[in-house]
This record gives sequence, C-alpha cells and structure tokens, in this order.
Amino acid sequence: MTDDEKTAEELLGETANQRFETEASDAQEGDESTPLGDAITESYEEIDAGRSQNLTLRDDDLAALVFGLEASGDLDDVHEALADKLGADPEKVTRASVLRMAVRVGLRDAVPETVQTAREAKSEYESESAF
Amino acid sequence: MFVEKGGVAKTTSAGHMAVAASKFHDLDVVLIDLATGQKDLMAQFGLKDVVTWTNQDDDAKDAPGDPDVELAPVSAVFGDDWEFIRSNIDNIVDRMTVATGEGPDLIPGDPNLGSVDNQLASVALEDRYVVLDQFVSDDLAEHYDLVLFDLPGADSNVALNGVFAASNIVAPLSPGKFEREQLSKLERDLELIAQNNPVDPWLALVFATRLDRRQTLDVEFAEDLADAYETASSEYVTKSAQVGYAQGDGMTLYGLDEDVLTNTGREARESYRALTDTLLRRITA
Repeated sequence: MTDDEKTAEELLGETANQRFETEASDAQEGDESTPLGDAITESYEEIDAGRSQNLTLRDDDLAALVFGLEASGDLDDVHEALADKLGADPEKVTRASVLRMAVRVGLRDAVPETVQTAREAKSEYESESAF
Repeated sequence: MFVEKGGVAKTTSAGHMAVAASKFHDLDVVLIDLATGQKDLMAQFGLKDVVTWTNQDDDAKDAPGDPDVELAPVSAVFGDDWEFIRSNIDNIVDRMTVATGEGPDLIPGDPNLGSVDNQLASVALEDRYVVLDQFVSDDLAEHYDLVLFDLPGADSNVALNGVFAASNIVAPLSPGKFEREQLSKLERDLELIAQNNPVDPWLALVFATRLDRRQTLDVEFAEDLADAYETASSEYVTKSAQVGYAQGDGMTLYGLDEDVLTNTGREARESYRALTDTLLRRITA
C-alpha cells in the first residue's frame, strides 16, 4: 500500500471525528469559554438529540497491545483488573469495554477533579431531564 | 423519494421500485439511503445486523448477529477529504455498497450522516447542494444505470443534495389531508429551487400508497391526486399486510414465492412494477 493509500484509509475512518473537531474549533473561535460542567451538560443534551457518541482513536502501540491481548486470551484479565479498579459491574468483555474502562481509570487517576465535575454535570442533567 | 412527511412508504416504495427496475428492465441499480439514522432500507433487505462501517466502534461490531460486512461510510462523500480519498482508493464505490440479494445494490446511510448537515452548513452556498451530484457523476455513473435516493423526510442540506442530484422526484403519499398539503409544499419548494439554482427538479411521479379500496376516503384521495397533478399516476399501491411480512423476512414482495402471495400482495407487487415502468419511461423520455 502506498503512503497516499494508507492516508486515504485513515481519513476514511476518521471522517466523523474531523467533522466534530471542525465544529468544536468553530465554536471556540470568538466565543467566551463555557465552564466545563455546563459544557458537559450541553453535550448530554446533544447526544440525546442525536449527536454521535462514537469516539475513535488511532495509536499503533495501543492497537498492537489490544490485538495481542485478544490473540493471547489475556483480554479478560485486563478487563477484570480495570473493573476492580473502578468497582464496576461485570459486563461483556469486548475491546471497546476494556478501552472504555482504561480511559476512565486514566482520567480518574490523572485528573480526579475533572471526573468529579463530569459526575456532577451528569447528575444535574439527569435531574433536569426528569422534569 | 422525497416528501417531507414521514411514514408515507418512501422507503418501501424505493426498495420495491429498485427491485422492479432491476428485475424487469435489467438495469444495474443502486439505492442510496440518506434518511438519517433510520436504517429502514437495510431492514427492508435484511441487512440491519449484517452491516457495520469502518469508523464504528467495536461495540457495534460485537453486536448480536455478528456483522460481517464492513462498509466505507457514505458520509465521507460530504467531507473535506473526499477528493483525496476517492483518488487513492480504487474500489471506493464497491466498499460503500452491499448487495440486497434481490438485484439492486444498496449504499446504506451510516450513523455519521446525522452530522453532515452541520458540515454542509459551513460550505459556500454555490457548492453546498452539488456534492452528491458530483458523486453520482464521478463515481456511480460508470457502475450503475439507475440511482434511487431515499431522502430524509425533512428539509435539510442532505435532502437538498439529493434533490439536486436526482432532479426526478418521486413522491409517494398515503391518504390524508396533511400529506396533500406536504405535496403542495413540495411543488412550491421545487419551483423555488429551480428559480434560485442552476437545476430543474420536477415531480416525475406522484402516487398513492397503502390504499384501502374499501375506504371511500382513500379512493377519493387517489382520484383527487390524479386530477390535481399531471404527473400523478392513476396506479396506486394497495394496502397489504404482506409488505410488512416480507420486510420482516428481509425482502420485498418480489422476493416472495408466487404461491404465498395474497391478492393484495400480488396487486401491490404489480402496482410497483407498473409505477416503475411509468417512471423509467418519463425519465428517459
């Protein structure tokens, strides 16, 4: 595969993310910044209204690790370890569930205040939606 | 297929007319589903659990039914990088399409079509509505004789792209006053589009669907339609529960064996064939 073919394949897979990045950067230009909690609450509204909740990432090292875990049968152990860290309920072991929990563990360890803000924003959104 | 009102059998009609064009006119047909997020055309042909897209997350790929066809998303056509993508991936059209199993191919709408409207809103007006037309000319024309769009039942940038690309508008309507009003609005909108743009869309075919001949109001609706619109067909599609049963099995009425067809199923099938004949005659005239 030529470099251009490889780039085209990557662009094909990233189409949606490019679009959202464009929207986000457009919103930031010339706008006052929105407090994180409010921004998260607004994002829940947008997701409920149909905005895609897909998040994708491309990383050679992570891809090699995850594919390797699948091939060796060790994905379940990693899933269990992450679930223990989070105190999460058991769910079907998939590549996506492992990555979801890994991101959560990482955010919680690196920026616990941000995660707390996100929890509060979700609570606020859910209580407003109930009415 | 384009009327702003939902639930008028646009998707059912698109699917059946595509199959009729393929089966009875030996045409290479592709259906393009731009009805955002609905997946109705996929369901029509039993493809809902079979298809996923290259940019979907892994949860979808692990869904029940074990998706086994991975498609390139049609939403890529509307992105900034489309020209680069199509120039460097030779078989991009093949990668967007899946065989329906009844003749036509299908380009299903991927989940990211929902964000295309926002993307198009930032495109200059003179370029905003011609994206799909370019795709048809540059990429589909060499593969297919007939392209049928199932458009969103809403006045959106994506729908307008479909109107520009197709020019020949088919409007199925189920009996109802509101549906007639939508048709009048559609006529006005098409005139407005033609006045303000270098394109001339027209109502190539109007017909009643889900008609119950036992209901006087339904019959009057069809007659009224034929009187009011030159391009309305006197052919209407009879209401038949068998349409739904066939859809449940992932096929059109043409996929059913002759000996299981009910009278109304047979009538509906013949109506779609006749309507397809009329449409093809008009658009090739």
